[in-house]
Amino acid sequence: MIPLHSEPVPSAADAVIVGAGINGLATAYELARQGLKNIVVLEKNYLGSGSTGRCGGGIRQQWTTEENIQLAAESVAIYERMSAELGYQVFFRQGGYLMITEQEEDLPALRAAVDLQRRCGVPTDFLTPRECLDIVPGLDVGDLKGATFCPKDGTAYPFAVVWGYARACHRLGVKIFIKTTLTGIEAAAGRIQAVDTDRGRISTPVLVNCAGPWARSLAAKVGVELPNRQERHEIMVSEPLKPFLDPMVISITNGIYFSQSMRGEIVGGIGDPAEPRWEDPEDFATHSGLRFAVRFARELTRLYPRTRSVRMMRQWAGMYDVTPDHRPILGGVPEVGGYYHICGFSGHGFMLGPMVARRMAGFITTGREDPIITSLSLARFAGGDLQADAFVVG
Amino acid sequence: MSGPKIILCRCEDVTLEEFRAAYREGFTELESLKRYTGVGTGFCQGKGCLSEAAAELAALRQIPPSELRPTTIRPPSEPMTFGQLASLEIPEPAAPEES
Amino acid sequence: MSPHRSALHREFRATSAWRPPGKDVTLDQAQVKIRFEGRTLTCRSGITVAVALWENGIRALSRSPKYGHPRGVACARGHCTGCLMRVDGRPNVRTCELKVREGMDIRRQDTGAFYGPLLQKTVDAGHRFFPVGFYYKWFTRPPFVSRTFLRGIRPLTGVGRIPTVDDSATPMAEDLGRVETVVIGAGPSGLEAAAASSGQVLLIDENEASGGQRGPALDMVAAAGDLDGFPLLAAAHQRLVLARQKLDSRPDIRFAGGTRVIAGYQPDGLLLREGEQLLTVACGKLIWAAGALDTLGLFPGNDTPGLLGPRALYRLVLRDGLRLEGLQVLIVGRGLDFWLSAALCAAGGARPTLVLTSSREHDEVAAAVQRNWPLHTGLVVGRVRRAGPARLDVALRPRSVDGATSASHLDMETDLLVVCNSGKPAYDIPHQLGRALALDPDRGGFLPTGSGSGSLCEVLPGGLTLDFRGEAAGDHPGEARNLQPEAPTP
Repeated sequence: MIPLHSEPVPSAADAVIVGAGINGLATAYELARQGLKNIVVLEKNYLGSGSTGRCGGGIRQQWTTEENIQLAAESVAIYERMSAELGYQVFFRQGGYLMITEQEEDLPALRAAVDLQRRCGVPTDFLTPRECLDIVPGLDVGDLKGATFCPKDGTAYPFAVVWGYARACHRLGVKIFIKTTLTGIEAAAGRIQAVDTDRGRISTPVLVNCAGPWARSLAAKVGVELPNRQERHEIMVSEPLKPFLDPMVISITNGIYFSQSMRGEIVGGIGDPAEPRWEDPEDFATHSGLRFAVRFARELTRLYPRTRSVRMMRQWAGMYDVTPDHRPILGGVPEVGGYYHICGFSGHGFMLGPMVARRMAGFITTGREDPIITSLSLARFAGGDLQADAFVVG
Repeated sequence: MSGPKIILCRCEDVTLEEFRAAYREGFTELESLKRYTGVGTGFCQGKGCLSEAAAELAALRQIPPSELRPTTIRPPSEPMTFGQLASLEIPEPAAPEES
Repeated sequence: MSPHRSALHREFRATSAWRPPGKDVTLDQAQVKIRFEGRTLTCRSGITVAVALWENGIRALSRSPKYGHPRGVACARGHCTGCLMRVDGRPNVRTCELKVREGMDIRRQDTGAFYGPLLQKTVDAGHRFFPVGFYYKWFTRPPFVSRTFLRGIRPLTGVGRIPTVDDSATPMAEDLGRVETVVIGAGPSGLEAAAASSGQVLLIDENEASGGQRGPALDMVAAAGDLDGFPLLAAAHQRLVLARQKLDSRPDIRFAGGTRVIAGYQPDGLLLREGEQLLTVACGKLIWAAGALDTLGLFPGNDTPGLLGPRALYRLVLRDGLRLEGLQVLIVGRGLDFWLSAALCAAGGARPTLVLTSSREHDEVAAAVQRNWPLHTGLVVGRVRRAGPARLDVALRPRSVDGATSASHLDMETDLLVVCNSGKPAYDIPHQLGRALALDPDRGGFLPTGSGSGSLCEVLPGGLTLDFRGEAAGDHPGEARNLQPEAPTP
């Protein structure tokens, strides 16, 4: 499926994609499906080793802007058919998302979001605290003020998605090189010409930057300045237990989220406002912190007391690639022909990746204008008129 | 045929043969083998099997064992309850490193 | 881990309060009643649940998740899954570490992480058709089949049911502040390192007494006068005695017995557990002398209950009071642990049969012959299977030395099989604290990389030293920081 570690890279390709996370592999797959030949994916470490393999695997449609709802709904439609399409079980389970709040003042926004989502065809409902108990028995609803629930939201297993795309890519002739580092990019006459790797040089007219938290430093190599900053986020799994929790529970009050995986583990995290932002990939710190473990445990046991005697097995950390408006950066730049970026997902790359890859592949192969790609282009930051979503959690 | 098997990872019930099959399937480094087979992801967190799996991988790839690093061994080494964790004071955030 | 608390305010025992191990468990003859799968069993008080069940003829404490193989106590240290059971409404309890209480309710758990108990036999028999990862490839098309498959297997996932009890009485955690030097492991290496450290020293060991994993067994064999003729045992015991003497001259050193390090958090924090209580401590310098883990080897049936490593045997007999009287014990291997296991079994009233995998150790062989212990050479374990609830059928096969074999196959039934390989190092906590590791097959596992520089990094046998003080971090910027080069992509 993957060339052995000793094989050299081909000397020429029609497209080189950097990063073998969900965005890189899904883009390679969609490009190959649309007929592009000779696609090469470069990955410095292993499949899904960046942010994809460290994420919680949640996919939700409960957003507060029409555009985000539309993007997420398209992604859910892809996820619903993904196992069949890839011929690989990605364990996409639609247990729903229960978004809770403990603040009275959030309720108008929640009700407005439900109305908007329903207009967009997403079957979200507003729930009273008591009704939450039907969805998550044992939840401490004493301090809850309200919640919204969409049964079509869900979770998938990130590594299965990555492997499924990698196998499908392999069937379509895409070459994936792991443990391969990009060392330089050659651009001349306003176009991408070639990339240099530690396994050799590849001449290519197209370079797609799917490097996640490393996208910013990669873009800098071709003179493109991205506004992205990197944030360390931590996450943990518990011991595996028989199923007792169906949906993902997520609090817009304090940023905690947790669900039960298809192995039976509680998977969850909590955002930390005190976490510093990073600009230089050399500084990334993905070590685990006791502060996260304690903050998560305190919130989890407060909201969901029946987990008090459940054990935490393992915690880890990964990087979010965060943009000023928490929305991805897609498309290319006028100065460098053949250069594209798919980055800045701000913690939602797993959720949006499959849909974005499909649109971007069409954009790259045909050059046809796509309204969503246009509205998410890098140029939007120059205008200063940013549209942010109110439900950025975790 | 049922009967005794060579168990590489007891927690996840992975046999040596299955580990080799996963390697042949294209999972050629330890991090992916760990996720795909489950070796080292069980209750023992790899205490029982990670170095054995790594030694087997070195043999499969015919490389010097010293080239193999462990997968990141994450805390805790022994599971503890959320109730126990919640009884700790919340540590101060780490100061950003000077760069 | 507040740095402003510089003194150890907690009253730990001085190490001179060391007491001989094992006494209280063997002297305690009171009986308690426990419930196992609805039946009432009687056992001695003061022993662990696993030993109580063992002495009632029950060794299969759990089932493995995929093949449903019976599993039992293996590490006796709370690491492995063999002894996980549901106790008083709590899932996945390590019964090798839990003491029995009157009226305790003990149940085997619902396993079948992927397939459910009914299917496990099928999967075991047809294992060729169910290789790891088949669940990614089957039942994917069309979408409704995939959805139905997920719904079908969901109830079969997980091990154990969510607790039905609320442990809200968890003791509050305690912060011990910052200690100049923390030594992990009170075996001979740890004792020597602690005695050689100046300033404030906290010595931590998961056992109540000093001596390390072998200490209690060495003490018992010495007390029985059985060291004669075994130079390996005599030397190990002598080293331990000298190390304890050195430590006796340092009454200022605090000893936290019965305390386990359960996590390391960068830059310099340790999370400890004493009973149910968590403790945190920060250290200026950490000396890691935690000893090795048992390795059982890779052979068919290497997960059979009744198969143990030597360190597990020492714990079961001397910490938990497992009775060996009259048992037939097959001991395979070589070196210190091989002879110590043999001497321990003999001193405990068992009948040891030895299979030596070394062509040296002549003095010990002579001593074994003198004691009439049956001894074979030129063989290794070929396959193990159950021959009844508390019996093992062990097939020994010739060991090949330079392509030649000198023995023939041997089949043997036994009550207990102890495999004494060299053990493997356990550096998970130093790794969590930023220490890079690499595989060293000669030492059986992952070892810290680099040959070590001066006093900052001394690799075994003196223990691994991690120094978190400012000057050290300056000399070795990697030491106190995260060393894992995780996924820096292009």
